[in-house]
Amino acid sequence: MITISITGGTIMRLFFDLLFGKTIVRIINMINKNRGTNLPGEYVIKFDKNFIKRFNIDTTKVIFITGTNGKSTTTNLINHILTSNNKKVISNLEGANLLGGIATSLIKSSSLDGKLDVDFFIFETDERFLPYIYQQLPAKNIVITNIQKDQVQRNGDPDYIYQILCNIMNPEMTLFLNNEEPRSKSLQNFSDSVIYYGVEKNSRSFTKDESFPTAPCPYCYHKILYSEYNTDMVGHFHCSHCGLKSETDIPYLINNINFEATSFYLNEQQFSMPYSHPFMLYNYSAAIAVCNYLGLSLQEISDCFDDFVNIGGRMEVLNYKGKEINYIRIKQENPETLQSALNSVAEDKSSKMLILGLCLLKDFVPYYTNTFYSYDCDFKPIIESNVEKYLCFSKVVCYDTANRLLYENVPSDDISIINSDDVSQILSEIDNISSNKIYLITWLKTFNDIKKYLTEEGV
Amino acid sequence: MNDIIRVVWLFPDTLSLHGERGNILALKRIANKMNLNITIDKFDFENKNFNFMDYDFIFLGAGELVSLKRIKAHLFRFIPMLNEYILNNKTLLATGTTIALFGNEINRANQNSFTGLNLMSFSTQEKETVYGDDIIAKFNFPNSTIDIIGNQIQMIDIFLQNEDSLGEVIYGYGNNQRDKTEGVRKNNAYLTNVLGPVLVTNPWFGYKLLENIAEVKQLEYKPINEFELETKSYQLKYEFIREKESKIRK
Repeated sequence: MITISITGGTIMRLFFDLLFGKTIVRIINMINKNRGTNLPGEYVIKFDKNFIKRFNIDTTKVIFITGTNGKSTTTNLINHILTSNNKKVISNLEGANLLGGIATSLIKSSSLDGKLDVDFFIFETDERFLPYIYQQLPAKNIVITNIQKDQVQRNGDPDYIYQILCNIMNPEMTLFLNNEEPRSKSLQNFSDSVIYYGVEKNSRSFTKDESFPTAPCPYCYHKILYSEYNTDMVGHFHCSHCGLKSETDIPYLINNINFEATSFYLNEQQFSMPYSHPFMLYNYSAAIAVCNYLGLSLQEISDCFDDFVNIGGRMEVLNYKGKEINYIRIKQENPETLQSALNSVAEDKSSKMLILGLCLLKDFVPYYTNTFYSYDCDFKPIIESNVEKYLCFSKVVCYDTANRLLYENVPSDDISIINSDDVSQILSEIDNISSNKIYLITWLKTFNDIKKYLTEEGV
Repeated sequence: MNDIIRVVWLFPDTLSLHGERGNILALKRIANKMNLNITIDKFDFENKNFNFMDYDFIFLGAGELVSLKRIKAHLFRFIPMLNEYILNNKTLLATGTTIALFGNEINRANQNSFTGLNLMSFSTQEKETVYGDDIIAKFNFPNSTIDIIGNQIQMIDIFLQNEDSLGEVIYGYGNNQRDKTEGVRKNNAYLTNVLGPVLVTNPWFGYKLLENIAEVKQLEYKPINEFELETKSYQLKYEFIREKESKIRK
C-alpha cells in the first residue's frame, strides 16, 4: 500500500481545491446521487488547472486504459479483480474518462489534506484527450484496447487518434498492447517494456468474403491480411509488405475457449466467462495481463471472474408481454460494435425478430445522418440465422437502414420501416410477430427510452 | 469482353474509411437492374504493371490522408496512362479525402507537404479540425444536373485553380465552405467530398455514370427511372437538414 503525501506550499492550495470539490460533490449528491462523476472535477480544474498534479502521485502505480472499444469494461474488470483481492483502488468506473472525471475520482477518494490511501490508480482515459490527462498525470502504464474507426465526425480517421497516442508514448512506459489489432501492435517500438495480450482462434472466429476491405498497415499502408477475426478487424494478422504481424507466442493468450461451457484458459489456468461474447475476450485478456503484472497470481485473478458484473447498458434483457427483448448496444459510427452485435445475434439460430436502429448522430451540433459504417459490416450470418422479421426504425435514416438489408437480398416484405423513434410504435411491431425472441441493436439512448417506457407503463 | 463494363477498385484495403465498399455493391446492383454485365477487379500496391485503359470505370474510396503519399508514389509511374484515361472521357470516381491525390499540391497541417498526381488543377490544405456534417449538392452533367445527398467528413480544404467544380453546394461544407463549390470534375472524372456509399444513397448518380458508359460502348440497357426507397430517404433527409440546427448558412 502507498500513502500519498503532499509536499511544501501546495498543501493549502490543495486543501481549498478539495474543500471546493467536496462541497460540489455533496451538493450534486443532494440533487441526484447518480450524477456528479465529472462536474466536481471540472469545476476544480477551472479553479486550479494543476489540481491533479498537486497530489504528487507515484505514477508507477497508475494504469491508463485507452483505445476505441472496451475501455469501460476493461477498467471495471481490473478494478473488480484488484478490489476483490483487497487492493485499494481509485478508479473512474462510471465512464467519466476526461480530466474532470479523473479529478472527481481523486476528490471523492482523498481526505481534505490530500491523503490518498490507495494501492493503484486505474483510470479509463478518453483517447482523444489523453495528452491533456497525461500532462497532469504521466502514467507509467498504458493499456491500449484497440484503435479503430469511431466517431468520425470529430476524429475523421483512426490515424488521428493513432498520432495522438504516438505523441505521448515513450520508453518510460510499460505498454499493454493488443497483439492482434494492427495499430495497437504497431506501438511496440516506443518502449522496451511491452506486454502483449491476445486471444486464440476459437469457434466464434470468423472471416469475411473478398468484397470486404481489411485495413491498411499503420507502418507502410499496404494490405493487412488476417487469418481470422476474433472480433471485427482484430485477429492474427500480418502485413502483406512489411514485417508487422501479430506474435505467435505471447504471455497472455486466452485459449481453449468454450462458449457453451463459458470458460477459457490462460497459461493452464481456467477462467469462467462472465459474459460469453467474443468481443469480451480481449477485455478479459487485457485485465488478466494488468492484474498479473501488478502482482496477483492467475489463480487469484481467476477467482474473481465468476461474480464480475459489467456496467449497465451493454447487453441487457427486457421482458415484454412474454417476449424477451435482448438488447445489444452499438456505438454509432463504429462498425466494430455493429459487427459484434450482428454476430452475437447470428449465433442464435432460433426464430427471431431483429430490430435495427441506426439512428441520427446527435453527439453535437450539427446532427447528421451517417449510416455508412454499416457497409463495413457483414450481414450474411444474420440473414442466414432464421430471422422472421426485420424492423428498421429511427427518424430520418430508417430507409437507409432498410436499404442496407435490401443490399443483402432480404425480401422487402420481411422488413418493416418506421420513420420514428417512438417506443410505442416499435413495441406494436413486436406484437405483430410470432417469435418470442427479439433482438434490439441500437444506441444506448433508444434502449433507455424503451426500458423507461416499459417501467412506467408497467407492461 | 467489350459487352462488359469493367470496373477497377483502387487500393480497396487502404482507401476504406467509410463503408466505400457500398459503392461497389451499388454499381453491381444498378448494372444488374439495367441488364448490364459488370466485373470488378482490384488494383493495389502489388500491381506493378497494369493497363487502366482496359477499364471503363476507376473507383477510389475515401482514405486516410497519411496514406496518400505512398499511394501517390505507387501511382507515379501510371500518371501518363491515367492522364490519357481522363482525356479519353473514361469514367473515374473518387470520394472523400482521397480526391486530394489528383491535384497538384497536398499541404499537411504539420507543414509536411507533397505533390499530388497533378492530373487536375487544384490544391488541398489539411484542416486543423475535422468537420463532419450532411451535404446536399447539385452535380453538373453536360445537359443536366442531379441532386445528391450524403455525408462529408472534411479534413481538407480544396481550392480549384483552372478546373471545374463537380457541382454546387446547396447545404454543407463542400470544397472549402466559402465558395459553395463541391468537388472537382474533368471530363468524366468525378471527385467528390460526399463520401461513404454515395452511390447507394444516390443511385441516380450511379445510373448516370453507367448509362454514359453504356452509351459510349453502345451497349443495350434497360432504362431505370424509379428509385422509390432512395427517393423517400432523400426527401426525409432533405427535410431534416433544412430544419436542423447548424452553423453553416442554409
